[in-house]
Amino acid sequence: MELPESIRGFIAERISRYPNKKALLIPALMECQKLFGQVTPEAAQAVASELDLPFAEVQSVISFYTMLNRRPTGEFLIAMCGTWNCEHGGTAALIEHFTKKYGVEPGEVTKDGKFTLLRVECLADCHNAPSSQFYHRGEDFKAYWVNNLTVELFDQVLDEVAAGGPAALRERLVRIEDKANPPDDRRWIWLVTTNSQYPAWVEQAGGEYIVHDAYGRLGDLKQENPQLFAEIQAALKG
Amino acid sequence: MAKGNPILQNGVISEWITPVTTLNNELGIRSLADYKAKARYIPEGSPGGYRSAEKVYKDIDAETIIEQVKAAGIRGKGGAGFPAGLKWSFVPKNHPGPKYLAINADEGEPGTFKDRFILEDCPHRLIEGAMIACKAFGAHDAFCYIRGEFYDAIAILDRAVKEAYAAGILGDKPFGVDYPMHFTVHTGAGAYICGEETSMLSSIMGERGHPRMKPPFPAVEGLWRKPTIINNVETIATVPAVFDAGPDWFTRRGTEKSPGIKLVSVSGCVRNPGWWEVEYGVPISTIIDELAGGLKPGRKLKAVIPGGSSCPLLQPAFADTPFDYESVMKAGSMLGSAAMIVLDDTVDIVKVMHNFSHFYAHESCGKCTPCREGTRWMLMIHERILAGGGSPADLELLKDIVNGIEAKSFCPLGDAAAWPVKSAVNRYAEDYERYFKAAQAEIESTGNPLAEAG
Repeated sequence: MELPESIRGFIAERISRYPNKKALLIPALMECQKLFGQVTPEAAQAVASELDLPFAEVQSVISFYTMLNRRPTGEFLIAMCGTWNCEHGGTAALIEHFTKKYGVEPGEVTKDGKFTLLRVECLADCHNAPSSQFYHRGEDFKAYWVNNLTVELFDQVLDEVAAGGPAALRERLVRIEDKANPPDDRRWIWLVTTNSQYPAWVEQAGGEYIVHDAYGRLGDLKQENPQLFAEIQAALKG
Repeated sequence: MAKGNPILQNGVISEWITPVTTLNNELGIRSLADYKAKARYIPEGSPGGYRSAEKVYKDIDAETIIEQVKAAGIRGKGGAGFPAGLKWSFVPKNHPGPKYLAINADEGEPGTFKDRFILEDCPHRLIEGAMIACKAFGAHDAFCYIRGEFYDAIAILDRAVKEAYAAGILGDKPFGVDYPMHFTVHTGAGAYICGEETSMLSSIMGERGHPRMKPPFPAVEGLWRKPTIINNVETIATVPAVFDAGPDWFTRRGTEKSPGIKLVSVSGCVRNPGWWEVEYGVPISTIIDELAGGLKPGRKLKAVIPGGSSCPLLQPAFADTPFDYESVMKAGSMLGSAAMIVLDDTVDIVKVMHNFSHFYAHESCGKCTPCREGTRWMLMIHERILAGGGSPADLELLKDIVNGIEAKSFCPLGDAAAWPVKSAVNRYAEDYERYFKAAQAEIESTGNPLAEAG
């Protein structure tokens, strides 16, 4: 096969920064992974030709790096962290739920072709354990954090993503916790979402709760994700 | 995105903790416009991103840069704590060919999530630090090796680099000075070993991530056999503040041998896990109780891993140890990447060690025998113990395996795998013995099948 135009462009844009073409091997293979959800032997051959490398050398590199898949994956690849913080938070139950729900083992594609779950090592998201990333392959590749998971929430996300595609991977409210050692008299909380945790304080005005984020990022989110704010209002009222 | 620091808006909550420090001022500052308008190198400084780099490029020579960074006592923040200025001075002077800076953003150590925040929330600070570092030892190219899983961080830093090129900050004439400077974001593909410096170089050159023999050290022969300096993201991001606040600002903070500040990431059994920037020398218990919200009600501290999964476990008696390289070392562990994992009394140390052994067995690159075989054996023994097949002899066996890996592996991954297990079998033997007793009771209750057969 021919190497897709987007990957040729990716290589052409960067090649002047390196003394040889080989340096771009891993980034180029990662572009294949993003596009196809795997690195097929055909894609590996195309990368080898583009970078003037022996096919065997490219294959040896692919076999070393765990993010380069040599088997087909689903439309969404779920990287489920299983290192200690996440395991302690319940990764095993999440993986068990997935395998029961779809009748497939980690690494296999679900029958509808939507998901492949892989248990991976530390994703550097330990404060949001248990944590995972959803990768949606294709030209418009995107990675989404889906963390602070519970089995119920994971199940809900899987169903909504299967029905609604990548748009369903919006940031969701997981829980609201009172902050330990509040710095002053105001009501300090942790807003725990599927993407992060926000230290914030809450002000009540009329029937509405105004959430003041410690670094103002929720302000942007309010435009992008009004559902999240509806969830926060509902949770604070409840 | 990463969690912010609630104390930054609320003043001092402990005399030990710097209320507002260099990086916290830049939360969420991703665009060049914001970096110029809002970012401050230190809390009391005035806005103006890239002011330090401009000053350095226009007025300060290479030797003075290194002197200033040495004077500020900036130590490598990726794990080893090697002084940054000293490292830069190892690059051969008047070397004819190109030299490189390789920034290590392969943040893979379990428990560590501090570099991700710098990449995502203040990417321009990293670019600025790289420019200053490159000028210090005469490099014109910086490569930032980011682990493949950090798709967000890669996209954010890529965009920041493009902005910097468009503004003439990177490129052939930064700030109109004839010193070409290029910055390239390079992605990894999911290998912990590539956080080891020579493996990272192999990976940037398009090879399997195997470590290489030292010497020659990378400062002499690194990327493409040219002198290469490897620094952690946080180290590089700390540099610009030195040229705004002056070295004194750093030496006034922290301890004598570990001056300045450090990002710590706290995870595990605490109420509010997250990251904070603290002065070196803050007691470990202060970080746990005042920043991370303490343990859950009714729980007791069982162990602290001060610097990520590769550091030995510390018992509760050491909870008041000052958090600096020397004190943590004296207490019997390492500061490492300052990724504090807190374990309470509900945690089973055998299960923790099983998980860590799984991690290292998975991530061992396979180049040398002690690490490749030893990590797998540690995993299999822990699996057997958890499955009810352990016996007291396993403690000696684990010690023997640890002894076979430690200091005998090709690169530090072997040590990283061995040290936590070594500390667990020595300091938490009672957790293992509980399994051995249960296994013995199981045998006694079912009788001896051989005796019955006779």
